[in-house]
Parts: sequence; C-alpha cells; structure tokens
Amino acid sequence: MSSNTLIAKDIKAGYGDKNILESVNIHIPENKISVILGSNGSGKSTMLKTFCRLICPTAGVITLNDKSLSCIRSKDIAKAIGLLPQTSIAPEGIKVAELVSRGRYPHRKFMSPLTKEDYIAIEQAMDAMKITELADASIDELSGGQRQRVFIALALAQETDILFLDEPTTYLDIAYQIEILDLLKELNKKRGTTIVMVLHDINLSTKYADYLFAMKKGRLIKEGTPNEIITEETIKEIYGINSVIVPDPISNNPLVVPISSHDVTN
Amino acid sequence: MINKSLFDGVKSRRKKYLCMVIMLACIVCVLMCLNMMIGEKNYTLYQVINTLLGNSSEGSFLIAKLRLPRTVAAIFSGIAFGVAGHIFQTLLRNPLASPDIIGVSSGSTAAAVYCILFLNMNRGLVSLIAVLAGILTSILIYKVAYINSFSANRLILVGIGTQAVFTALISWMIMTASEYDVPTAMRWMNGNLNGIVTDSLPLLIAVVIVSLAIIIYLRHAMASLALGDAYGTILGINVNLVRTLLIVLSVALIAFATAITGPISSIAFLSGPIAKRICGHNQSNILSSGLVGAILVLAGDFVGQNLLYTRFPVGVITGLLGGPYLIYVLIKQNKGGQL
Repeated sequence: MSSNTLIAKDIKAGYGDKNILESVNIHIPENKISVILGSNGSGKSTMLKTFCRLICPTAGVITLNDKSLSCIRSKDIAKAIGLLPQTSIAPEGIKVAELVSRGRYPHRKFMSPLTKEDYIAIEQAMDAMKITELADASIDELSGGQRQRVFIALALAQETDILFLDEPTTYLDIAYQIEILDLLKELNKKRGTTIVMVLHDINLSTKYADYLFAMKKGRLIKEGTPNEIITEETIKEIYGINSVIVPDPISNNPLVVPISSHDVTN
Repeated sequence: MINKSLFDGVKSRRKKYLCMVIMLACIVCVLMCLNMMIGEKNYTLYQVINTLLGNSSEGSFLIAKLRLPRTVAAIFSGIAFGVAGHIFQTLLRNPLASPDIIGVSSGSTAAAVYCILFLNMNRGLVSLIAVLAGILTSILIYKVAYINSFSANRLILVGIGTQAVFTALISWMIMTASEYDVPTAMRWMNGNLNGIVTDSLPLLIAVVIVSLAIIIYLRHAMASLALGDAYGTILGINVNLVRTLLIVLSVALIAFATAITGPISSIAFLSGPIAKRICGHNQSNILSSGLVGAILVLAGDFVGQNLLYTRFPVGVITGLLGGPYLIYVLIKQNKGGQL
C-alpha cells in the first residue's frame, strides 16, 4: 500500500473576487475513506475543487508529499489525484470502453497506442465497477447508476492513490447509492485507495466513512471519526437542526434522526 | 491477465476507423481524377497523367494551368475547413459551434469584400488581408467572450452576434458599391474555385500539413478535453495551452483557406458530423473530417461545373446542403433541451 500525503495549509479560495474558503487546514487521512459534511454553500465542493486544481487558491498552499502542487508537473499530479466531478458530460455516442480508456491520458506517451499496462488498468477499473459487460454499449443507452459507475471507472483507470468524489450518489436511488458506496469501500480495502467524498446524506456518511470533516461558512469546524463528531450539538452547529442520535441497529454507527417542527408540536 | 474479448470491440472499432479513412482517401482520389478529366473538354485519365508528367502537351493549359490548381485548392481547402470545423465543434461541445456559424470566417469575408469593392485590390493582396482579418476577428470574439473564465456557450453567442454584424456590414458595402464590382465580390463571398493562382497554393498546402501534424499530435489531449475542462485538468492537461493552440491552428486553417477560395459554405459545419456518422464516435475523427471536407468541396465543384444548366460556384452547391442540416440540428437540440 503506497500512500501519498495530501495537506492543505491555510487555504483561501473562491470564485472571482469572493473567497468561500477561509483559512482551511486539512490533512487527508491516508488509505482511509473521508467524507466532508456541511450545509449547502459551506464550501465543501470548493474545498474538493481546490484540492483537484480546478480552483486556484488565493492564499495558502496544498502539498503532495511535502511538495507544493504548483511545483509538480500536471501529469504527475494526475497520476496521484483523481476526481469524479459533480456532473460529467460524455461525448455523444461514445462507447464505454473508449470512455474509460480516456482515464489513461496521464500515463500515455504522445502518439503511442494503448499499451498492455493501459489495457490491464482499464480492465481492472471496469471490473471493480462491474461494467465489463457494458464495454461495447454506447454511453447514451445507460441508466443513471450505470453512467456513474462508468465515470468512476474512468477515474479508477487513472490509477491514482487518492480519489475525490463530488456527490457520487446524487440523483441515484437508494439501491444505486448503496451499490456505488459498497464498490468504493471495496476499492479502499483492496487497493488502499484514499477516498475523499462530499455526501449529502449524513447517515450514509457515518456508515461508510472512517473519518469526517465538518465545514461551515468556509471553515473547518470539526474533524474526527464518526463516533467522535456525530453528536446532537455538532449536527445543530453544522446544519442548524435538532436531532436525536441513536446507534445504527446493524453497524452500531451513530444514526442521526432529525426532528422536524411538526414532531415537536405533536 | 488481460481479458481478450473485453477489448475486441475497441480494437475492431479502431480497425474500422482506419479502413474508413482509407476508403475516404480513395473517394478523394476518384473525385480528383474526375475533376481533372471532365469539364468543358473531356480527357481520359491516361491523357491527364501524360500531360501532367510533361510527356504530352495535349490540353496542357486546361489541365495543368486551370484544372490542377483548382483541384488542389479544392482538396486542401476542404481539409482545412473540415478539420477546423470538427475541432471547434469538439472543443466547444456543440455541433452549432462551427467557425462559419460563429463568425470566424465572416471577418475574413467582410475584409475581402471591402478590399474588392472599395480598394480594387488584386487577389493576392485580398487573400493576405482576409487571413489577417480572420485572425483578428477570432481574437476579438475570444476576448469579448472571455469574462473571468472561458465559456463555450458565451463564445457561441458572441460569435453569432459578430456574424450578424459582419453580415450587415457586407450587405451595406454591396448596396453602396458600384454595380460593376459587385459580381466579383459576390463570387468571392460564395466561395469559388475559379481563377485560383498557382502561386498561392504552396502556402495553403504548408499551413494544412503543419497544422494537421500538430493537431494529430494533440489528439489524445483533445479527446480528454472533449469531456470538459474539469476532466482536462484532472487528467493532467494544460487546458488553456492546449485549447488555445488548437483554436489558433483551426483559425489559421480557416483563414488561409478562406483567403484562397472564399468561405465555401457549410464545409466546416458539415464535415465533422458526417465523418462521425460514417466512422463512429470513438476515434479522433481528425483525418476523416478533413477527407469528408475534401470530398464535399470536390463533389460540390463537380456538380456546380458539370451537372447543372449553368455553372455555379462550389459554395452555392454546398450551401444547399448546409441549410437543411442546420435546421435538423436545431430541431434535434431543441428536443434534447440543449439549446
């Protein structure tokens, strides 16, 4: 298990002149699954994008193995850090195998065709996401869950030690959500891939995450294992709602039961 | 171990693409021969080859001085328009984003019309100014559309606006010019292969070959960029550099081809989608788009010269193809809610 250390120090970043992140310090736990929690607009997606170089920080530095990202060749970063963006648009009519093979870009030499290593990586990625049978299907024919697995396979074919996923389960029904999170858990266990996700569902987060980051108004306010930070106070602080925490009857992880205003009046 | 059958599809699609490219190249050769042989006076292939090799002087003026430059210009401008259109459509992820629809070539046309109508310049000088105007127009469109960040949709909208402005300018110039000069300008605007000067061809050929070589070299990066800027960055591409380079090369192709043949309608717009329909969506389609472009120009010119009651410039014929296709794309995109 190789591990790349990714650390953000005093990061400020945002869109245009407006800073969304205010001095965020994060050390991504190696070989673990982490989830970033936070309400809408708390800066979780911005944090993810800054880690993946889609947004340039206005202050602070992100280091990969103690070297600033700005000092590492773009292709070398692409061999260490992968991302599943919030939305992915595939070129019309492309076949699944060809789409997944585009994840090999940072490993390819100019002009040369796909090598044996490329084919092995593509096959393993498709295998891990259980889409081998779809190799010759056109991306337009697939269901939402299948498409999402194809794009995760593209990120896996990139063979990075660190994988970011921005809301990988949005728009998917519960069966697909569990399926995709299970596949990611398996990947983390088998290959030791460091996984960092933004998820909206707190209970799925506590179920799958080894480590949680809680963000509010562009700041990191809490971090720790689910058992450490999922308390009624923290949930109130992050989302501003009242809740009751009960143990998950199956896994014993903390389970958040939100209290609605109707519950109180009844 | 590698699961062989998993990649059978990938390999067979690649093979099919190569076969299709070879087939398209053969069609280009056949059309090239036809255009050399048939016209006001017909020659056999044997006669044409002998004349070109200098073994025979039969019809040497017609073949070597008129038809050869015409055919060569048709092939290379077709490749230039086809490849440039395909790159614009791929990078901007929209089949409407072809340079002839988003104003890139309209700048060249307006400048050329002005030079022809009001400055009475000769064709060589007009070409040079058309190239410069095309490049300046593209920079203008890009600058106006670039607010904080690059946006494909904004670029397309600014381009369509620019196109409208230049079209209005051209109409105004034609209305005010002396009647005697108007037909020359009109012929140029329609895109036509008459009176191609042999001297102007080597430059076009050089631009096409160099640009094409660099574009093919960048094809993997282009394929990844087609997934969006985010994917480009994640996959380790210097997005701004590669995109700028590809757009500059496409604009150069369009500008040089437009300077020599005029803006031959619809070639840039049609070639990429036709190539994709024939060769599938899984390869770069750079060569196939170029070859389809060459086929459209050669075939359009053949029809315009030989098959109708009177001779038409090639742009009129290819324009007839573009209109219905534009309507088809608009309806299809409207249904898909992408517009």
